[in-house]
Amino acid sequence: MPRVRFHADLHIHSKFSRACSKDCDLEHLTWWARRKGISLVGTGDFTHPAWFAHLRETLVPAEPGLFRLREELDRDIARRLAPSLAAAPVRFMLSVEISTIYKRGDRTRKVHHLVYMPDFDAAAEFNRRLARIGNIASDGRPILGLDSRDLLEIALECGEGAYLVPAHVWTPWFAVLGSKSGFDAIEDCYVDLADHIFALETGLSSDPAMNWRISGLDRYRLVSNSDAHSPPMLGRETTLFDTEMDYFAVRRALETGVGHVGSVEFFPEEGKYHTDGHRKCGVRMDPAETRAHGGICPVCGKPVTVGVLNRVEQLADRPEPVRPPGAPDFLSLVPLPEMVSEIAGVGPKSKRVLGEVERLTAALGPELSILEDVPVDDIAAHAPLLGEAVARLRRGEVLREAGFDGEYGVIRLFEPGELKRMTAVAAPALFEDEGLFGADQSEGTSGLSFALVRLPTVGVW
Amino acid sequence: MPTCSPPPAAGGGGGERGRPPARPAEPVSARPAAPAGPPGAGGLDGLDAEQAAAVAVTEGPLLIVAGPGTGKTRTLTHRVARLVTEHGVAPEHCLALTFTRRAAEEMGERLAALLPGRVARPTIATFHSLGLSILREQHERVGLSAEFGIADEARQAELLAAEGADGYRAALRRADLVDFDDLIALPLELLETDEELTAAYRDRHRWISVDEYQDVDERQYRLLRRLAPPDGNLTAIGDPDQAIYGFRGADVGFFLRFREDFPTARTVSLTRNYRSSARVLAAAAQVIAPATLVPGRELLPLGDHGDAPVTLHAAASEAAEATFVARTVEELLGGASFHARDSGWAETAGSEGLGFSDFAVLYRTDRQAGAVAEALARVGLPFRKRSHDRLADRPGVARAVAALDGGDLPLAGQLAEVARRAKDDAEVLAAVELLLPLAERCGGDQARFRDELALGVEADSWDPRADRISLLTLHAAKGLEFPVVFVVGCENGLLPLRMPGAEPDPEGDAEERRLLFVGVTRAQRHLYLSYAAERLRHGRVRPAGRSPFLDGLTDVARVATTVPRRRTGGTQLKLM
Repeated sequence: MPRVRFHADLHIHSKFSRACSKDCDLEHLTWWARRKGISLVGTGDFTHPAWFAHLRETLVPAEPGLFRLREELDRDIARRLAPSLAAAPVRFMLSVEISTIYKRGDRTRKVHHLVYMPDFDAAAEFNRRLARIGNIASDGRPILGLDSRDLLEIALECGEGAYLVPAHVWTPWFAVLGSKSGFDAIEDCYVDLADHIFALETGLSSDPAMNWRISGLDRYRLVSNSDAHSPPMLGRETTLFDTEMDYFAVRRALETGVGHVGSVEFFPEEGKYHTDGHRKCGVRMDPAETRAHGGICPVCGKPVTVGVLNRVEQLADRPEPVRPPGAPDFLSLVPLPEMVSEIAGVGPKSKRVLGEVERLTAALGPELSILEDVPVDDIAAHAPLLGEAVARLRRGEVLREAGFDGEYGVIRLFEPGELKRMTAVAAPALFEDEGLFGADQSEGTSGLSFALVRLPTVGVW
Repeated sequence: MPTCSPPPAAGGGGGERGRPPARPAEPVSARPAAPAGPPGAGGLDGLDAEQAAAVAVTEGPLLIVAGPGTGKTRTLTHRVARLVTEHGVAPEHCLALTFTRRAAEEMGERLAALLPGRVARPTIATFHSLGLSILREQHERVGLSAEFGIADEARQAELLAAEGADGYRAALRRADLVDFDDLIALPLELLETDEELTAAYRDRHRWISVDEYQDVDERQYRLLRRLAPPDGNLTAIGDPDQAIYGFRGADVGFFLRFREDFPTARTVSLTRNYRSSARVLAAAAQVIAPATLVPGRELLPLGDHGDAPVTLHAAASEAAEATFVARTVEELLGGASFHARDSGWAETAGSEGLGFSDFAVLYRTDRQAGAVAEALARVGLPFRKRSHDRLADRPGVARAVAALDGGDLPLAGQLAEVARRAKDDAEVLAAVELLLPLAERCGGDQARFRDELALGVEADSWDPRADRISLLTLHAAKGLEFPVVFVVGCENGLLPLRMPGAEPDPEGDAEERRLLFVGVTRAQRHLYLSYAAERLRHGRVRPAGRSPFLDGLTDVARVATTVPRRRTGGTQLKLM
């Protein structure tokens, strides 16, 4: 089978997980995967009985260990996409996120894990075993009172090729290296079975460079996924492979590094646990400030939530990142709808942004291609300001406001006021589309965007 | 002899798997009270002054009044161990009686640890298993064959229907069967009518210890009196304030008149509590004070269990009360989900070092479990409702057992054959899987296999590695302990339990008060007592009032219903 370069997003949730969109079904996921430019998607939530039944009914075997949507469903979805997006194949692999909460060494440990299974029989066996441990029917991401090491053992016993990847390893409350309830080393968590761990998910709040400050992590492949709770969030981070389209090839690439060619990352500041602080108290501090305050919030006097950056610095044994030999490069991107949203001055989920992205992808191809490799001139031909924004993005020229204590950060491409000046200049030529956006003007949420919606910006694209 | 010998030392749970030492070896939420003694103490000498005083009495009748968490089992097992190791008593002359299989197993494990390397072990039995072993030895005397069986409930109902109450027992005997009542009644009849036989059993069981003596009923009492002469080496241990089985015939009066029955008896009181915080013990003392059966009731806090206040919570409804429980669990764990953290209703650091098996929710009636289970399931917290989940009652078990070929082959092999023949009968296949652990324990001993099933060995279909929140009735909580305890439904009419419109019943109320005392004294660090303003009972939603048992509490914190806080937008301000 031929090798292909493709984006994979192997951590998502279904509509059966808490706080997830009711649109998280396979049809929507397939539609959005094509729109984003992702070829391989995790099913998420396969331990949930209802989702598992949906998977069995809706998916058919494709390449070894992979599945695709049933033919007639797939045709329906292709019909609802522009020709530039419709033809791309989308494959699924069986995945689930498990939360383990347990005591080790007199401390409460809370760790999230991604588990992958090569076929339905193995997944069914895994589900049977977990049903004897906790309630897998109430949440697509089940909480189990089980030692992480035991979870790994159970996963490995269920099928040849099953594997486990610790999820968003740095988040303070729910991760293997988290400051609040994790460990200081991967080996401390999985003990005698730690050799079976070969990849780590960096999470939204960290990128590979941050991880390269810790020599103990050099041996792990660093993967990225969206952890999407709704289909439009798909692909906000991805892992890039250059392998056969095959479950076992993907696994092998993660095990050996050969065929693992990179990842698409958030700017880590955008992640909601990047720096330190207290959301409730409106306090955000960088690690040095946190140290200066002895880790205490100056408003409420309780310990602040220590973010990923600080935690990385605590465990770092290198002052600067050192890329391990063979480790692939990574791309830091801002999701296309967020960039369009900044320029339009309306929310990223607004109808107008949705419409614009639809127009752009129909003309230029999937969202990830637009961000990654469509020539800036081609983008600018359709949307001049976006062309400028993508050019800046590719040069890494972004303005960063770091997320903390569960609040997402904000990445901007333009200085405050800059867009206003640019659109004011550009406006006279652009009035022909005016009728399109009148209804959306109330959607601005921040002060900045409120100022912008007064201007006729839509035609600027 | 069936069920009367202690299980092997390493039995119970699945903790023994050659794993890193940091991991708790406790099996699933079954959490018997830990050995209580002075800090750092161990072995035969790790006893406090009161425990040592009890252990020092080696002969004659002895009554030990042991408050909750004072090291009752520790004292009993050390006493037996010392009789064997220091006073030359043959282990086979020692008999220890408990009320539950679980307690017997625990005592067996502890004794095995105290008597390493000995082949002969003291006999540890429940009243029923002791009765069964006497019947197995004396079967001819009551007209049974050596292979007599124990009728399960279905068989009993069948015979009752066919023969009526009058012909029932005769029909049982014709079928070479006994029922549960017979396991006490027949040996009692034998012993009460045969002095020689009595003398023989007295000679065998020269040292007898009885746990939970406040819970004996009249026939168990009479059986004990036959086994132990008035000046015999009988040790009774228990706590009259924890007598909670009056409704099924237990009579705390037997405990209170021990010194009349055994005039030479000495008495030792255990009052040093190692289990609970001082504030939990103060609340316990205030709960029991109006009805205590122990003059000068005293519980001295000696353990280090923090200073968390006892919390009272008034909820609007049963559902709101259950939500309070779920929220509090999350809060103490420092949030179990991103949702809990990001929506701001779990804000503690979770620094208590707790796991799910450290939590118990206790209630008066089994029906109350529903709302709690629903609230826990809604937020995905793993729980286990503990009830009498008899293996014999599980679907398919009766059919799987009936299909055994009855040969001398190991039972596990016979079960595999049953599974093969069952093909795709899911019920029988599931039953075989449940029966296998018992079959492996019994090897080829068919009689023991069937006896253990009949005596109510519990189904264990859970993975022993899993931690879960325990949901259990106050009765079932007896003998257990948890760092965090919720007692829900502390309402007048529910605790004390009373039918709507029923006359006040002071004696019944006193037992209900003791039940709350048992519940309160299960808590080590955190105790939450809650009640709802209204509750569905007997078919309709009725207003419920706070239980009068809470009236005496002085040092308590009151918390309101936690309402999820809305996320506040625009907190990107940088304060510095």
